[in-house]
Amino acid sequence: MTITCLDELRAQTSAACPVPVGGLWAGNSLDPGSFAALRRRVMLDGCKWDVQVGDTTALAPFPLVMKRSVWNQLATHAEALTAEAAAAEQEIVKRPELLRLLGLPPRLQAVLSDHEPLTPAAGRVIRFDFHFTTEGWRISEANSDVPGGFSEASHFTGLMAGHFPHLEPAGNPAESWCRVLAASAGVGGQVAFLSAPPLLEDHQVNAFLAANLRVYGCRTCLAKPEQIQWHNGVAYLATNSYRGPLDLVVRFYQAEWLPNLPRSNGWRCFFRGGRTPVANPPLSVISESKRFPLTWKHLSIPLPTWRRLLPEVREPHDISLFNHPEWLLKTAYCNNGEDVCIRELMTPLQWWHAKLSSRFAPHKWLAQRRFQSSPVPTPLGPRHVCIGIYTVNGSAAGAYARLSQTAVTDYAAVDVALLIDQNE
Amino acid sequence: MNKDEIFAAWAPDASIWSQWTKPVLFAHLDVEGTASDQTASPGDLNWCPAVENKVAIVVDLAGAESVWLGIALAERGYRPVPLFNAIPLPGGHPVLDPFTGRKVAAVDVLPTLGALRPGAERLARLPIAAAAPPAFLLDHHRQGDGRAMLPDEFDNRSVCFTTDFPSANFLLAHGIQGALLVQKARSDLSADLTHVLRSWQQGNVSLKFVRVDSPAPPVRLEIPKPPWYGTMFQRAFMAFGLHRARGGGFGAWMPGSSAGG
Repeated sequence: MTITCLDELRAQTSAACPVPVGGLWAGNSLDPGSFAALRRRVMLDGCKWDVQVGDTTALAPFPLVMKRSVWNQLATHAEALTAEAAAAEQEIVKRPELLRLLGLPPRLQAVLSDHEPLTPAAGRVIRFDFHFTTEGWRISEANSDVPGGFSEASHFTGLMAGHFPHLEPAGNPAESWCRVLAASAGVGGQVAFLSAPPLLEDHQVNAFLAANLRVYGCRTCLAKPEQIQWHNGVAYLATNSYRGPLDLVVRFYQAEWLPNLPRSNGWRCFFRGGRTPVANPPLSVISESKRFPLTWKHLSIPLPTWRRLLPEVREPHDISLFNHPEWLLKTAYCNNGEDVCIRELMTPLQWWHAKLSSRFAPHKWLAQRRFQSSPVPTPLGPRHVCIGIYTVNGSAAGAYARLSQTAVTDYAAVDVALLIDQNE
Repeated sequence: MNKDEIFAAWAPDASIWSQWTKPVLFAHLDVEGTASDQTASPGDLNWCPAVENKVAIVVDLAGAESVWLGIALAERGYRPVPLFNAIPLPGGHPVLDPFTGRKVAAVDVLPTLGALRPGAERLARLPIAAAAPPAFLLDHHRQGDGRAMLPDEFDNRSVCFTTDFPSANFLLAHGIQGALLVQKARSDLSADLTHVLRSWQQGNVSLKFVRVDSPAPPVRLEIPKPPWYGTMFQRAFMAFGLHRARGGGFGAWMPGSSAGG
C-alpha cells in the first residue's frame, strides 16, 4: 500500500517536473513551512475540512501549470459544451420518450414530463471533467447538477498563485457563481443551501459558498431538503435559525434524490411550479445523466462538441462489451468515481457485482468507451490529471484540478492548484 | 489565543498525527460564546498505558469530556488528535433559539468548542515528544444524543469513517501495534467506530477496551465479523445499484456524497 503522508510528501516533492504533457507540467513545490501555512489557511478560512483522506494528504504542495493557449482552447470547449447541453435539455424535456432513456427515478421523470411551468433558475454552473489522453483532450463527464470543488478551485488555488507571481489562476469559480446567486437573491435576500447530512464533505461546499455569498449582503442558512416546504410555489424554510420565505434555494443535493422526500414536502416545486428560484436549474438533471449521450441520435441538434470530446456511450445490453477492455461501466448518476467500474482496477467479485447490477437495472447503467489518459510527471510520480472546468452562466470561470494514481478520479485523488502560464 | 494559535497547539507541524486533526471546529472558534472556563476532571487514569508501549488511544466520550481527557493524556505524553466532524451553525446564527432558549442544532458542539480554547493553552505548555503516540478524540454524541431530532433543528450529525483515521499499515509502520478504546459503556460502540476498529483489527492492530468510569483494567476487544445478513444486504445493495456506505462500511445506508461531483 502506498503511504502518502505529509512528511513523505515533503521528501518527495523537492523539484519541479517541467516536462509538458498536453501543455501541462508540475511546478515547484512550496517549502514545507510555506505549504503547512497554506494548508492551515485552506482548512481554517477556506472550509476545506477533508484535507486528509486515510493516509493520503489531499492537497498537492505544487501547482499544475498550463499553457495559456491550452486553457483558452479548453475554456472554449467548455463554453460550447454548455450551450449545446442547454439546447439539448430544452428539446429532451419536451419528449418523454427521451426522458425515459436517462435513468431518472420514475417520479422525477413524471414531473419533468408534466406541462406545468419550470421553476425559475437562479443561474447555471457546470463543471466538465477534461483529461489529456493519447487522442488529445477528452471529457469523461459533465457535473451538470451539483458540481463541487469550489473551495479547492478558488481559495486554495488563489493561495497557491500567491507563491508564483508569473502564474495566475484560471479564474475564481466561487466568486463568479456567488455573483450570479447574489444577483438573483438580491441584497438582504435569504438563501438556503441544501445538503445531505451527515456528509461533512458536502457541508463544507455549502459552508464555503454561503460565506462567499454573505460578502454580497445575502443572508444564508444551511439546511437539509426535508426542511424546505413549498406553499403556492414559494419555498419556505422551517428551522430554528430561520423560519420564513426564501429568495433562493441552492442545492448541493442531487436532483435524483429529491423524489425520495415525502410528497407533502412539495419537492416537485424544485422542478416545476415553483416561484422561488433554484440553482442549479431543474433541467440540469438531464445532462447530469451519464446516459445523456444515448438521446443524441434522436435529437434535432447536432451537439458537435460533445460528440468530439465525450467517448462513445452505449447501452449495457451487450454483455460481450463488458468483457472488452476498451469499455467501462458506470451508473447514470454516479458523481464521485466510486461507481466507475473498470475491470482491470477491480477484484473479480467487484466486477461481478457491477455486471450483475447492470443486468438487473440496465436503465441505470451505461457502457462508455475508455480512453487512455496520459500521465503527467509530477514530484509524486506520474499522475493522471483531471481538469474540471467550470462554466457559470455559459462562461468559463476557473478549474478544479485533481491528480490520481489510477485512471479513475475518485475520493482518493489529490487536489492540485491549476495555474496558467502567462509567459507562453 | 486566536484560532490559528489554538489550531497550531492542537495540531503542531512536528507531529505526524496532526494531519488527521479535523479542522471544522477550529474554523469556527470565532463563534461567540465558545470560551469556557470549565474543566472536567478525567478521573483515575491508572488504565492509561505508558507511552513507551506505543498504543493508540481512541477516546469516545461526550465532546468536552473527550477534550479534557485528551489534555490529561497529553500530560502523560500522548498527542491528542481532535476528530470532531460536526459543523456548528455558520454565519453568526445564534446557537440558542431566541424565543424558546433551546439549542437549534442536533449536536451541541458548544461545550467542545468551549473546551478546545483553554485546552490549547494547556497543551501549548506541554513538552509532548514528536514521536508521541496518538490519542484520537471523538464526540460520542456525533450522531445525536439519543433523543429524536426535531424537524426544525440544524442537522449537524456526523459519522466517522475509516478514512478519518490512519490505516493499520500506517500505525504499524510507526510502531503502534495496539489500540485502546476508551468509553463509558461498551454497549455504546457505534457502527461507524466499529468499522474503524475492525479495519485495524484486520490489519493486525490488537484492540483493547476500557471503561473510563470503572476501576476495571483494560480488556481485550474483538470486533466480530459483521453478521451474515449484514454482509448479504451490503452485497444486495451493491447488486441493485444502491450505494455502499463510504469508507468500506456495512449495515448503514446513506446517500453518497455529492462532493466529488
